[in-house]
Amino acid sequence: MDELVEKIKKIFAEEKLELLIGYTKGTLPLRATPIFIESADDADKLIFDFTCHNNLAKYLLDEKKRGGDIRKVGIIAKGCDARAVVQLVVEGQFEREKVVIIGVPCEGVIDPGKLRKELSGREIKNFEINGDRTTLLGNGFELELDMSELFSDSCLSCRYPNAPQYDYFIGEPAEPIGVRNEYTSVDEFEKKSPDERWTYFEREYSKCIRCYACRNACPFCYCEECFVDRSTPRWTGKGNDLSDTIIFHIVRVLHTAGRCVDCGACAAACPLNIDIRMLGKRVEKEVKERFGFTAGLDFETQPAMATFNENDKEEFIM
Amino acid sequence: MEMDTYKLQKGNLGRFLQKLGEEFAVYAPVKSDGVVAFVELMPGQESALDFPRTHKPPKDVFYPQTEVMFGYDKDGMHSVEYKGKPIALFGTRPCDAKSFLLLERVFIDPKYEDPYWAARRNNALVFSLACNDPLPSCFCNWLDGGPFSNTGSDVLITDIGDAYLLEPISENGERFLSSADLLQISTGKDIEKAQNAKERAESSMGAPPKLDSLKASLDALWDSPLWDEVSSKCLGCAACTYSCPTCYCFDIQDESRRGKGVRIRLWDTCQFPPFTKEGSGHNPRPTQKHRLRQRFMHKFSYFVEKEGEFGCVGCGRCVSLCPVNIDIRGFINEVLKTAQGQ
Amino acid sequence: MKDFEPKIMTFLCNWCSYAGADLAGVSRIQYPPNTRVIRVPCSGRVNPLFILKCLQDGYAGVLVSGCHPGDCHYISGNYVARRKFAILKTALEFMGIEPGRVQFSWVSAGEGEKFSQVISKVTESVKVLGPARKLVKSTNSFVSSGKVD
Repeated sequence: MDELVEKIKKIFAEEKLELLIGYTKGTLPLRATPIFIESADDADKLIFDFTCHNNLAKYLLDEKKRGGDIRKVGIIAKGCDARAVVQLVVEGQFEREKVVIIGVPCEGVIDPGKLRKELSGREIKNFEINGDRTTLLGNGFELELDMSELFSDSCLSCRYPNAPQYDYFIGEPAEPIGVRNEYTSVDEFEKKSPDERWTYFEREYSKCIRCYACRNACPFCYCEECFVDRSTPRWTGKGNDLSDTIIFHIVRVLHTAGRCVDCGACAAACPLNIDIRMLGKRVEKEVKERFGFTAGLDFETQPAMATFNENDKEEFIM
Repeated sequence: MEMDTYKLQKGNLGRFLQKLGEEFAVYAPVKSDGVVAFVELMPGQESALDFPRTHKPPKDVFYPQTEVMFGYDKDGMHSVEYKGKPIALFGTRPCDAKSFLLLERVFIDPKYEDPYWAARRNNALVFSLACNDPLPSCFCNWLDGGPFSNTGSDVLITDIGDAYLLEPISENGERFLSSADLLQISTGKDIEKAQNAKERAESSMGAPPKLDSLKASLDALWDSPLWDEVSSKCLGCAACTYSCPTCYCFDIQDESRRGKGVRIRLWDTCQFPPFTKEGSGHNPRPTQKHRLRQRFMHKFSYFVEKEGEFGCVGCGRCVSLCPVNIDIRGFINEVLKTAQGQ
Repeated sequence: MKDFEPKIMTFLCNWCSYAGADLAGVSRIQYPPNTRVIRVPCSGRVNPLFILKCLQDGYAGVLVSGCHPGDCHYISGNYVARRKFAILKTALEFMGIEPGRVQFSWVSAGEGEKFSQVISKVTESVKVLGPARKLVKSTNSFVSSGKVD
């Protein structure tokens, strides 16, 4: 942590940063929270560890919305977050010169929803870490778990723990934690029958309360007016009717197709623990296999859904 | 008149609920796929009473997220009223029970009674379950509440280990319990156990800050940079408002097809930009700072002005569920500290 | 399903497929009457939301037809559409929506016969699938938007 703080102070001076977006300790055990620092003096508040699950790239767009001159922004970036920053630059949403990507090695982050699920609604007061295992301590109970049971599903199949593009990198690059292959969960799921899959999605999405935490946590949902907020035409109802809700989720996946970096921010933000990622992950696989594109790896390649190839496969066309 | 406290052996809970279901539509917390919510208990379904605090508050039992107000077609309007059995809400927590009283200030005004709320709420019986183990994020005791508070309940249930104590709080509660089967009168020892549980629970929560000056402090801090700071990380989602037992804002929309349609009331939230967007395109709450300020001011200042008490029951759901860990408790402390410093 | 007559929504691009459909008509080629046609300037105009709204409304099938690759009146509209449709089809089928419900074709202005064949094929496959159930919106008994009448 001291290395982080020291380096950030140097970067503030070297790059003449006007804003740094990072993480600081949260108010609940095992939680971190985003922090916005405007002076190197506040760098002592910064942390980076497995509690830092939020995707900070999203806040670059808030900086844009602020109006006035865009400040030079430093951003602490795990692998997925850095890919999001790169993709945002490629999409023309932020100028390359205005963002300083500070890569940090990530070995997985905790999904607060998974933690809530494991605790069955109880809350912890403290925790201990012993290598790969953690002991969660609450009022009158103790629970020992493998850390990987708390990590976001995105982390379990992560291939890019380190920023593929960065201006600075603090620490030694991390190895992917490699619990699962990238598309294992999607491949396993696809073996089920269509009706079984539909039942699964209906069950998951019926929990949805349309809070849009998933949408708002995503760096790529930056439309000034989201399609769900349109009233002329009203694309989908506002309430929690199941059909309307499913439309929202399908269309959000279509809109983020070829842009999603599987940071898991959507699933982590969901207050009801819905499996938000499953559909998007399958589409991500399709984009990779069909169009050979993976989001956020470099500043040159155009996003898959913004271009085309005359020889794209069209076996599905009658 | 001194009302007896009744005792129900835990083994009899299933049958008790079944009997309750003969007269009432019983809503109890049910676990489904890791999420516990208040749903109508089907015969044979088990309720998850040991679940400390549901993700979604039970307000949707009286005030559904999507509710049809009436239908219309070429023959006219067809009203759709709740015509089910009176509702028995079983296993709600004291914070949620209190929230109904706050919601009532809005939905049952002397001049205007919301018929949709009233149809479900009238004749309902609220059985609250006291919290033996308040969660670290709970702060009901900051707001004149407590883990064993009986405000808003018809019956207060205490888990004393092998049995539940059922204490009638209201006349309706007493009327129901005095004629219910499967109940015994609790002994002095039982009541002592309940009292011990109460003291243990209350002391586990720590001393609350005094909020007497909170409204005045907030009112004085309208232009403070505190708002910029707390709202800078806010995503502007509705995780807090939709999981809040005292949030009540709604939108009304019509859905029509070929000469037939319905008018629907749906939950809405002041945290979404279109909430205050006007026809001209102007938005009086243009940034997330404005919207977050609105939420906190509403709970701790505007509601106080209109109704004489805070519009928050300290359930802690917003604290636990906020994706970016915005902690309203921390903010309240910050406000009190800043106001004192001024 | 024997007596089931599905309603199918068809989006035809103005320059190729709509003209092809018109040719089928003036050539008196018979094809099943189940589809409703919406003319769009280009297959690239078709927003996946249109297709989803149709399914929500109870249409048993949706067909989108455009110019052959290389022949788009707007040069590249159908190329862009092709990528969109591939992703849409992947998403819908992964979710469990029956593959025959949402289909895509290239029909040129001179392919009246092909158009009728495409319509016949789609109608047949949708008939076999039966009425749409999965995405259909059914708020309550007052709104028959779940059934297309």
